[in-house]
Amino acid sequence: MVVDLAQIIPPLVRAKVDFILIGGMAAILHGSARVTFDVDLVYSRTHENIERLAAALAPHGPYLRDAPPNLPFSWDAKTISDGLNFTLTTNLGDLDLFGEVAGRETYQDLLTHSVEIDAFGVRFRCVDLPTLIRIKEAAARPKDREAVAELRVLLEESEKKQI
Amino acid sequence: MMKDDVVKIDAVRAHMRDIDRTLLRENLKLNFEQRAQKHLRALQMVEELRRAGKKLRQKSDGR
Repeated sequence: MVVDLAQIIPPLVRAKVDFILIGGMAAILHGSARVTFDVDLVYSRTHENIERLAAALAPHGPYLRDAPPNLPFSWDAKTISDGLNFTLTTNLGDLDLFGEVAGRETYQDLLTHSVEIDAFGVRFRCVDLPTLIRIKEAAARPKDREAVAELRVLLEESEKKQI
Repeated sequence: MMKDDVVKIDAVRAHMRDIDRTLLRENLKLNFEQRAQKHLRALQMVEELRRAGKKLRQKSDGR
């Protein structure tokens, strides 16, 4: 299934879920020309936010990606509280939820390193470009090297544009 | 700085030389929604190619 930011972001914003867009889709919004197949979000781990996140996604059939069918998995606040990071498939597309990213940074840590984006009829937060680069570098996955290189070029080009 | 870090930085710099800056400059002219829409179109094309490839493989397997 093709994941569409315009479908996945507004329901979360309208449900007042506190999250920051990271990963490949954040890179797209910063101008990346690479294709990405899922949406990565860092979510706040407060009890209230976990309740809102559980309720907002429940109608969209979240289930563990690549898990065998019929696992005793229920999508609710307890499941989210008991876990931390989730790779999910939903009827809006694949969605990865992170309580922490590489370097053990949380929603609260990243809040001051995010920017507000107005798009799809809502306003939401997206990690800033230097921090996106830092997160990808901290993950230290060889597959991210090309992505980091592109983001570094984007940073150079964005800075040139501002001069 | 550790030797491994230097190797990683050199690898990233090597990749940076191969990045097509013209594509990125075009993207930077777009607003956020336009960037997302452009990506969505690319994603739809990838999915279409995947489907076509699958069909072709099934055909050549005689299924």
